[in-house]
Amino acid sequence: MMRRVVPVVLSAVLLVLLLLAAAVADENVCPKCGAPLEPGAAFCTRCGTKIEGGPARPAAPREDIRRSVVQVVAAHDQELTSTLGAIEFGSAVKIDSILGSVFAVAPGEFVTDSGVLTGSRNVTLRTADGRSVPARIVGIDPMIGIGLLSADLLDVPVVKLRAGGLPRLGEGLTAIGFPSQRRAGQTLTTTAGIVSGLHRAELGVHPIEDYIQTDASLPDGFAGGPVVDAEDRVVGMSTAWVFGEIVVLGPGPGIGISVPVGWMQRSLDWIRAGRPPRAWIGAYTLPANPENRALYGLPENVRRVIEQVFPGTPAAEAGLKTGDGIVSLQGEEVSSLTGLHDRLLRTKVGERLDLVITRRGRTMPMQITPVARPDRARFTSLDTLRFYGGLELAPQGDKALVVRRVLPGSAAAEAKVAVGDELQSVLSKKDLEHANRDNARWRQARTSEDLDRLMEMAYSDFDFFVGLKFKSRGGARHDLYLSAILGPSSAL
Amino acid sequence: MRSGPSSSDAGRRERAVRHAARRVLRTGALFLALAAGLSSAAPLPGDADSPAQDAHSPGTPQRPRTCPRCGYLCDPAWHFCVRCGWDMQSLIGKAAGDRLDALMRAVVRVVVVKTAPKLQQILSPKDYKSVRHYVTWNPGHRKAFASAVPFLEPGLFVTTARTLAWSDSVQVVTSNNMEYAATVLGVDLASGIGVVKADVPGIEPIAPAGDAAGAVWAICFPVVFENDLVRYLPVSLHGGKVTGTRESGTYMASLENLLRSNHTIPDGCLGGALIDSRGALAGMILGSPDAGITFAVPARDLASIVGSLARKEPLQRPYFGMGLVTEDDRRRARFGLNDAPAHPLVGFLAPSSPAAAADMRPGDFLVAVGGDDVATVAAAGTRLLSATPGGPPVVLTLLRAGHQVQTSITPTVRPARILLDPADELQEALEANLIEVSTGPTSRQGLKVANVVRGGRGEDDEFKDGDLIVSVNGKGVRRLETFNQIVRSENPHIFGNAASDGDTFDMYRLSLEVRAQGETKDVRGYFSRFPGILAPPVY
Repeated sequence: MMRRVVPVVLSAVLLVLLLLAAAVADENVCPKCGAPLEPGAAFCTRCGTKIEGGPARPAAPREDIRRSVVQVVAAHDQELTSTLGAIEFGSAVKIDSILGSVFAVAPGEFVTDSGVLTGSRNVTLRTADGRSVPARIVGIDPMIGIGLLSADLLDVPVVKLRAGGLPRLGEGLTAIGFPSQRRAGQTLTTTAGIVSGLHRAELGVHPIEDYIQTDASLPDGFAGGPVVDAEDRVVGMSTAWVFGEIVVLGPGPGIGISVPVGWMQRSLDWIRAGRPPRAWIGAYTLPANPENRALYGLPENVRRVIEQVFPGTPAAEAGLKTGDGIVSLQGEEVSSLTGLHDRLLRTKVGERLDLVITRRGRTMPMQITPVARPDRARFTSLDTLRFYGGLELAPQGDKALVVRRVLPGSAAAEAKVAVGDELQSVLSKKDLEHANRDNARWRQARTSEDLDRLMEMAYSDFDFFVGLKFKSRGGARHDLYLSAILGPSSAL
Repeated sequence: MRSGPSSSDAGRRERAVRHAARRVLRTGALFLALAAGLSSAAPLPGDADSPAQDAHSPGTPQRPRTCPRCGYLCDPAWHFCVRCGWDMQSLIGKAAGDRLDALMRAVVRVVVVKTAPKLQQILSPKDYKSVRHYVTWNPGHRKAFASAVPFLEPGLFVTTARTLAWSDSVQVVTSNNMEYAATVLGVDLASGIGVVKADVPGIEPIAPAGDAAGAVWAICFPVVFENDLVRYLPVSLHGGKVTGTRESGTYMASLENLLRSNHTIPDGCLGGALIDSRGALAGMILGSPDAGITFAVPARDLASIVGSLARKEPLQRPYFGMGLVTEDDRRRARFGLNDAPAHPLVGFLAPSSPAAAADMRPGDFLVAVGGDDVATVAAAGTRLLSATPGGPPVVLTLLRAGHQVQTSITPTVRPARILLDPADELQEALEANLIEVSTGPTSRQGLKVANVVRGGRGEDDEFKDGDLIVSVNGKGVRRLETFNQIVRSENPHIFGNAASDGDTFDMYRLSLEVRAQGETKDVRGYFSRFPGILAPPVY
């Protein structure tokens, strides 16, 4: 009898034990991945699944950040002619409208990229739920790349800005915006990325650059949209290089750039204060590199060098010259263009600045009093040709302008213009407008006055174009075309 | 100040041009690849199944980490914080931040000044005479930009082999813009690895990771080409995930066992580091064929090759001479494959190789090597490369017409350059089959182009099914063997006995007379780019 009972009892006990073990195990493994749970776990440590019944993480209900983002349609109510287009296609090109993104920084106040708004007078905001509301441009800051709009859209929630400012390297960020491509849907979209780098500058997008670089490839139309952190706080605004209808977000694949919140706020303060004059001394600088270090004999500690001085500006009056190395400004050592701009933004017009430069190995202190920054600064006509074309002209008596110098590797050198060539005629932007390449009028340019007058006609609000015909002593003819898009200048 | 066209059309065009330029640059890089040649060979290290090295923080026990979000003290083995669910593998937090700073300082930019050879150096004299007037070829100095990873020993930097090919001078630039002269220690085109030495103080080698999975970060120096301007960006961090291991068929290197990630990396990132969430080196970036696809040499495979290259030891790799591929449209048609077993396919055999001498045929599936089942080209490659040159024969199990066949092959030493039969090379390059047509009217005889792979290179070059190659270099062809003989005899600088051993950028040119169906004949030039550039997967 016992022999029969013992195994039965034993197996029953075993079964109970097994069932118990299974029950215990059931309670202590992750329901998703089956990993054993830590005691009192709120989350599985292997797969991150939230454990029901575990201690809850206190989470405040969050406003959906995406409700703060609105699409902007910046319509150009005029036909913009473009010389570059005329040269490409033989006629002027009409620009319709630019699509971008905006977000609310105050009730009824919206921030976007300055490039989206530049040249447009008719701006409409389109919400994700389909409403269209006209907007007014409060102000544009082309230096930092910020535009401020106001619109009767008071129900759009205001974003929270990240107080600490810059995100950390590697931090996950999300860009929000409306893609402008029709096949991309044109509906509110988010794109995730991480911080690739900070303090990116001299990318040629805006004069003052201190960007956050992310690895998100942003779709067209994201210009002006917010970049937010994991807590939905805004750390930056997606920015783009805009000319006419071309909007380029980020200089390459896997590179997105945004204006950090600190600079954005600085810009907004300036716009809201009625855009008071900014300090300007009238000098265009370049970074010191091995070539210009050797050319101008600059010491190692010099990081910026004066490339051109605008006529009639404080820089010209103080005697600054091409090739001067900038050592310090108002006692602060200068290492970057952004640093120089930062110092000037903190300077009032008329306030005297101590500038230390180095010229041919000698350190020279000088004082300079900034004036109000002009909307657009222009070189003299001869400096324009040197800056864009790399050639220097000199009058030969009253009869002709003759090439005195051609910089190696320049546009002039590529067009085979040589020293001694004589300038024959000039085609200016004004003469090309409403004409095409083949029947446009070339005007004679024999003297400096002719050249100044024609070069004046080479500028529009957006770009600059000039064609120059040269004749060599041997009779060979060479044409040189110079053109550039005139963004706001990064000159100091 | 930037200049550029100013309408949307122009914008699109500009982008298209940029895209094309990028492609041209890549092709240019491909061309430059030929410089160093297949001069050395060694087995790829470590069977994939060998115990993974636990290389992060060597020698120090793992300490508990605090959660960067909630501050909870976490076990180092946890992937997620037990209290707040934070992904502990994300590279954020004080300690990870410090480690990241050190890693970003460790990766360097590589600037290579190279001289492309003159056209007459790489073509047969006859070809040179005939093409010199209409081929644009710029010999002389040019600059290449890439990134490099400190690895194995202080002062050693690993980058891609193609970056270093043809280099006159190499410079490494650190993240704080200090420039140091570097010397090339070795280049191994077969695996795509190049090693330079530069005495850069304060940079420690990055330790290799074990099996990489999950999140990985790319650290590199992007370069942006904008019209004729080159913009250098400082060292950048790019997030992504491992999307594949043991990848092959990229044609970036012959012997591929690559890690794949979903990074979109800009130009200048080749040779950059892929690091895992613990800051160990997961791989060295080998290339990126498109946005969202990046291939890297896994760190595990770097160690022995970098060591040998650094010590300037010859890499002794075993050689069988079989081209291992994954089946595609044309192969399926050519070999009559109905089902596709999960094994690599023998696509072609290198002439005068051990495999060609043994009982092995194109169209065989390679089922097992030495009794071990192999499922992918990379797995088979790893297994084949673990054999000893001249050593004991390796038993290969093949699947031929539904039956298993066994053959045993004794590998020889992998030659510096592997030349395929010209006809095989053309079929690989065009991704199309060539079928002998020697019956019917004489006007319909020749080599028929068949089974052009959709989206393949042949289709790009406008070859269509049914096109007939009737002559090569003015001589009629109806048989593949005739084709081979013509090409071989006309290009002694490659196929002759006195040919160089592969350290020059040799190529040959064919003019193929093609008769399209129902159309007139046209003559198409074709430049051989094997074996150095397209890097066929020959084991």
